[in-house]
Amino acid sequence: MGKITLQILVVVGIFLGIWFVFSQIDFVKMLHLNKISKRMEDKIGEVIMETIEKTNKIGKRDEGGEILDKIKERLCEGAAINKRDIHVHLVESSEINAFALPGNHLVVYTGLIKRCDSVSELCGVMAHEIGHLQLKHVMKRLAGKMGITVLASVVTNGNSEVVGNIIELLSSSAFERKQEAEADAFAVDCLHRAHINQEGFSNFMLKIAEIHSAVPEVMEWISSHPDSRKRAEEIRTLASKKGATKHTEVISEADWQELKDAAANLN
Amino acid sequence: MTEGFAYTPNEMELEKASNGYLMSLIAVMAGMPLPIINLMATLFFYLGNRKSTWFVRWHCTQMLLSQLTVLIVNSIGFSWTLSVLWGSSILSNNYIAYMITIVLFNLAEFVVTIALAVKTRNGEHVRLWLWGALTDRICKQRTTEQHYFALPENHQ
Repeated sequence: MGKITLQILVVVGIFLGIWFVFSQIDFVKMLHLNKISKRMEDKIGEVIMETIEKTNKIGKRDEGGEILDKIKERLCEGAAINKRDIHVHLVESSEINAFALPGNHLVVYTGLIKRCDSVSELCGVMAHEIGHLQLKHVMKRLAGKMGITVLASVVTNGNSEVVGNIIELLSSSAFERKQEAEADAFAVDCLHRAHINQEGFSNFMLKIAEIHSAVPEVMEWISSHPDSRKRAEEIRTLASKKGATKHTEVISEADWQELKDAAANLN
Repeated sequence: MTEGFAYTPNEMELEKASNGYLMSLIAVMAGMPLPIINLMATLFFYLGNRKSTWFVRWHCTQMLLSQLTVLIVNSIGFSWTLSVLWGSSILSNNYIAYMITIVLFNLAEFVVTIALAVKTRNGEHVRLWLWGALTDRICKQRTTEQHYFALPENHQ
């Protein structure tokens, strides 16, 4: 039996050896696979945004879009990412919601802005969603729930049924608990580096949990982000570990008021 | 590795044993990309010949064992591919390297199987390295068969 065992080990060794040798070649770079998947993600994002634009009103630059861009720029500085990589859209909807889409699109509903009492609350939610984008949660989740082949149908023929399912999935259901925790940690770090008060984020989580029990139908963001009270505590703990930092103004009070007005008037 | 068998098989045995290898080749072509299909086909052929002569059973067993080996590596590749398509794994260098490795193993197995089918049909008893030794342990001559075949004097 010793001879056979040795022969089995030799066969397994040859197999693993060949595998190891081939794995030293960077096929992903050589075949430009990253660029292909990035192009696919961008195309899916474009198709989804086209669909949203057909059904909802989008805030133009003078309708709150420019101010939202200023907030995004500040958050991008904090996260050390290129501000042109993230595309933020103000979308008219009474739902209190914001969500990330493929192709680095970030949708903020007017209902969310109306419910935010301070810009730091909005910054917390936006930083959390940017976290999902930066940590590649969106495409991982879509590919996991729908499969690459179904997603490819969006790219090839703009499959409207799949687009509808993607919007439904990303706007109203939760990521995995681990991914939510990662996005929370990303948001806290981003807010800290951008010198934005992290308290706003945890306060918003607590506030929406309370509103949710009263008016659940408008609270899409909370239904897609469960355990808010517990997470608010975790956000506070993470923020305290980061240490004290001097908070600076994200946008002026006048800009914040203008954004709130734009959100109220966009219909 | 070619060695003599315990007895000289007749033409029908040579054809049946050779067909076992051919069967697995056809099944491999029909079964891609589902690795289980070629194993099933080989298994059915093996079960169909389990009451056949020692020579035929021996070669069917050798084929089945080599198919089992390929099935294991192919099944890993198949499930890995599914997880990439469904998004739970990413398209990595390790995955591509594994797929190239199993393609090479399948090609090698394909070529060896053709050679085995031809050589067996021509009356050669080819024992594969490792799989031949494993087959020797599994496929023994039945006591009821022993009086049919005159064993060589030096055979133990």
